[in-house]
Amino acid sequence: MSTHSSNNPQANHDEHLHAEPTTFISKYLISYDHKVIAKQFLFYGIFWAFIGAFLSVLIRWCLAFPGEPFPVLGNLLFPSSNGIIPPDVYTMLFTMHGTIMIFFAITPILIGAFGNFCIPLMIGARDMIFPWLNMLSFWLAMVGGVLMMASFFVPLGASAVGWTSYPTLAHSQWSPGMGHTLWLISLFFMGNSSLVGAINYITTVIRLRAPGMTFKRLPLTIWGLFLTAILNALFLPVLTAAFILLLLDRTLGTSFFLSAAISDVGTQGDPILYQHLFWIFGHPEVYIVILPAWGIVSDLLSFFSRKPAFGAMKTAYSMTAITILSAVVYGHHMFTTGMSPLLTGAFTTLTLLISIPSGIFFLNWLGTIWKGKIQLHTPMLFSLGVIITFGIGGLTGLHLGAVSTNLILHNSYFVVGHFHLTMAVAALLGAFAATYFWFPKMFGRMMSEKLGKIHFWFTLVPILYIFIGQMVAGYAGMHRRIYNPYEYNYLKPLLGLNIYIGIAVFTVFFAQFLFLYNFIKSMRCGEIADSNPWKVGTLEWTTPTPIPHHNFDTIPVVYNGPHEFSNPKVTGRDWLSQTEFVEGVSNT
Amino acid sequence: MNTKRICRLFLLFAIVTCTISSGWAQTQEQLHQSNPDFEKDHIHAKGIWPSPKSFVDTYSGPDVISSDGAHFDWLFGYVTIGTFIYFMIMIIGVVYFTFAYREKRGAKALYTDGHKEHKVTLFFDVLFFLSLDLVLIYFSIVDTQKYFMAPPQGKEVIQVQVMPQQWLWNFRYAGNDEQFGTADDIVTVNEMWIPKGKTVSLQIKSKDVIHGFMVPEVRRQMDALPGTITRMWFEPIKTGDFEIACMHLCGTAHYKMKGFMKVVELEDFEAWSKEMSEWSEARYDPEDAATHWGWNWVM
Amino acid sequence: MQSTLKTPFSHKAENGKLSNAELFFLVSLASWVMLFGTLILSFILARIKTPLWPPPYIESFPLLVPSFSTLAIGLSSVFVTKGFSAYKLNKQSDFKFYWLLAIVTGLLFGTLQTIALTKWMTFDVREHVYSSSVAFLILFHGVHFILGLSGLLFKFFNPSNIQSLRLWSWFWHFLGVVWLAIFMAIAL
Repeated sequence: MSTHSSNNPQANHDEHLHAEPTTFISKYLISYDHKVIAKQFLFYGIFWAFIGAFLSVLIRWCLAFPGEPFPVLGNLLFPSSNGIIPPDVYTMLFTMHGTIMIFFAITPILIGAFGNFCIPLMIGARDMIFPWLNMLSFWLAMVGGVLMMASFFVPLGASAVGWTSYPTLAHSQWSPGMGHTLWLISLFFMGNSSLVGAINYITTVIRLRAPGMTFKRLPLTIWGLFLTAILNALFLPVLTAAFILLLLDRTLGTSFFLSAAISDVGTQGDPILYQHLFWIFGHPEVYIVILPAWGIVSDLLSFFSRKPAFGAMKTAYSMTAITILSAVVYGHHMFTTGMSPLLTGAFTTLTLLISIPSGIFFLNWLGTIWKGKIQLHTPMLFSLGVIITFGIGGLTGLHLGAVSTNLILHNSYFVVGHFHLTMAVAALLGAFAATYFWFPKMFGRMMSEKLGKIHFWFTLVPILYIFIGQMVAGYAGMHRRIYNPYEYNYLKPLLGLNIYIGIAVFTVFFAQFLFLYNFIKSMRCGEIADSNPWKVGTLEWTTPTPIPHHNFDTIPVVYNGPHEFSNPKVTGRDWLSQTEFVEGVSNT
Repeated sequence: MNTKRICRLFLLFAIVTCTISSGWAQTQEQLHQSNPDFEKDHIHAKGIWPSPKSFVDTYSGPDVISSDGAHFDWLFGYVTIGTFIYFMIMIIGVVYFTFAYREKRGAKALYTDGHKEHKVTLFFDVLFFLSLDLVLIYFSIVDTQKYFMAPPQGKEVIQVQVMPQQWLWNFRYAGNDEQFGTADDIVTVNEMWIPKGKTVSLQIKSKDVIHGFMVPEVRRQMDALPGTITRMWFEPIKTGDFEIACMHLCGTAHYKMKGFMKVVELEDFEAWSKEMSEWSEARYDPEDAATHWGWNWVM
Repeated sequence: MQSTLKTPFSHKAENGKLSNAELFFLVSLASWVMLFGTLILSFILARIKTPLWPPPYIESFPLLVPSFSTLAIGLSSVFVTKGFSAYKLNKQSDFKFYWLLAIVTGLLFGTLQTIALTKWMTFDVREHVYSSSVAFLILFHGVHFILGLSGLLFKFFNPSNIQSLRLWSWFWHFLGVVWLAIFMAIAL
């Protein structure tokens, strides 16, 4: 019989304890420790992010200098065409860029790395509730990564159907070869990796919160990660189902998504069904990617303004409202498929309703820095960058949510600019903010502030130019996924703009090496960080640095909210740890 | 190497790269401009800061040629200007707060927990919703009823069947007998003739993968799906030659899948239609299955 | 800095009735529901869109044998419940008896499914989305069914932990419900 439901409050926290590993392999490779898994995910994500970024450089080279050989590496990569990127390779480039950036870079960094690192530490737990599943999550991601990497080298090349993988182009008749099959299998593994992680996160947040850590006292980072995990657990299976059906179509010759009009046998499949399934997952995926960044930014703005997060609970509730709304708005991705007019009206209304909760937490961010004592450290700069980029991205979402303007802009570069600003740039800047912020706790050393600030300016300014430029190009008529836009007369005037966007992309790409240098160098010889370098009160900063294997000797008891800054009742300093009991401020 | 040196080197590198590539960009543009095929009647973007007029001409999209396109342009302009105003408010807020309340100025942070200062945020949120979202919702519903709901019927409507395939556009007209599927159907490839001032109704179905039909000047697009007929209609009000773009990724040569839309005067169109229809009837070959695609006009 | 555990506090999660593993199972159940829900929904949508369902040249799936298998898996669920309550009352022999019955009825379900499928699949099921969906749904359910059955078998020989016993019985009920949904989607 189970001994679980005892009255011992430590039971939950002790249940998942595991012995401290001693050998190299058990410590760094097959570790159960959430901190090690977080680092594994971080390195994994950074590795893939650089590959994805390099692919984007190749893409922009095509658009900026059509027909020119790619400098330096061109002859090595494309020997058969004298260094010029051929059109079929171009299709693979943007497909893999999208896939890698979403599933292999942003998701592992924000959810895999910072989810794993922050959740147990910030809620006051010794580890994730199921450490074994946590390890499984990373190794499933590893298998997915290996398969995706392998798909570059199979005959006929990698997948070339766009990251949305719409049938019927995704069927083997129109995209033959192993590339896309491997792509599907790889994403199947990635999906299950995220799913396992998400289930683990949900259970951990519900079960392992330290005594006194109510949902009201939960840092907003955890709110973001928790909501993301819920979306992941509910909607990844939808994608998995769609991928299974597509995989059967490709390998066994069924025809779930193959229409009667075009296949040899009298099947009655429907390619639109795939689009429905994909976007039922796909729209929540946008929020899966951005919610952790929102949470992190909401916290960091408060930490570095030295004042409580403005309307913290309202922020949390708006994020929850968006999470719920995100499940029912996917139709605006499919307005051009000849949807029923009734549905378009409903989806337009629902989509635009999202702006109410978004507006609330957005203005709360402004409220947080209002009358603060703003310390412009690198994480703060990146958080302010998220406000700006997500501001533009979110506002331009209005154009795409309404059916009238959507029919002009759908599939154009306006869409590309919009979704990059919201789910790519904002999420990535959030990830940078998180990296600069938690680096001292992760590795025990500070990252260089100076390099970080240069990295920030060389990232933010060109990146705004790139994506605002893309939106301008989109309204001028440039559509997505074309190898050479200048085939069209009305797109010829855009060459100048594309060249400058290209240059901005190259600048951003090289600026990321600055980050890489800073990251690797600071890991070995950065300034030694004390246990609470930013002077904030959340639970992870109460642990010594480096963090002991089981995080907390005794499970801390929480008395305060995460943002108790500049409280007039606290004398001597402007912050208060969540575990400190101060008469008149804290309550049990 | 110390950090300082890395910073300096990187700055130097960035400046040099930007200078060289800007120069390169300029020469590239000049090369393209000197190319006679390139510059026919298009204004070219003059680099990063073009004059306001050339900027507007280049980036406001091609001129509208459909009767209702101006409305969508107006709506786009309204939302763009509206969002721009809110964006400016936000940017001014972020920049002003960041500089006014930074640590160096020594002010003490305000402890806002428990304060009731949410009225401002609520005000802006409601204002935003009323001024932009509500307008968009209203127009989406009205536009749907007005423009997207019921395909036009009647004798006056020019009916065209469109069947894209990898990587070209097939068009089919009913011909003189106004019946689809007969010997005098006009079949064209990559060239769609339509008259000015008449409503054109398209029925679109793809032969293989998903394509997307769009003429940017019309300000409307519709997907071409295998197995399902989609509809699109508009009324051209200007004559000229326009390009049909494929909006959906449809394979390697997606970027080359370009058709032409020729908007001509009504009498020219009728003459063309009559001549083509007779020509087709004279050369009708029942064995030629590839030409006899098409479907009965679906109401 | 850190208070000792003697400090009084309220901590709701630990007073809850679900164990960690049960909570984990419920969350994953939500995912499973979404997975099977998507597949069944796709089947229903395809059906709504198609005028002739099933088309005349496709043999429609026989419903007689699957009705018996539905009965079998329903019975099996009942036996699992019986067995579990016997286990809770510490009646080992009753538990073994009911659990064995559940496994036998489960096996019966598997056999009936196999018979129905093999008798029906005499043609190329890929010819139409109807036949391929039906075959896929049954086989996909079958894979999970094998997992569930091996879990029951394992618990039969090794019933030491009540918690995992409960989880396996939940999983078994879930499989029954999923099969009922599939059967209704096919039959209606």
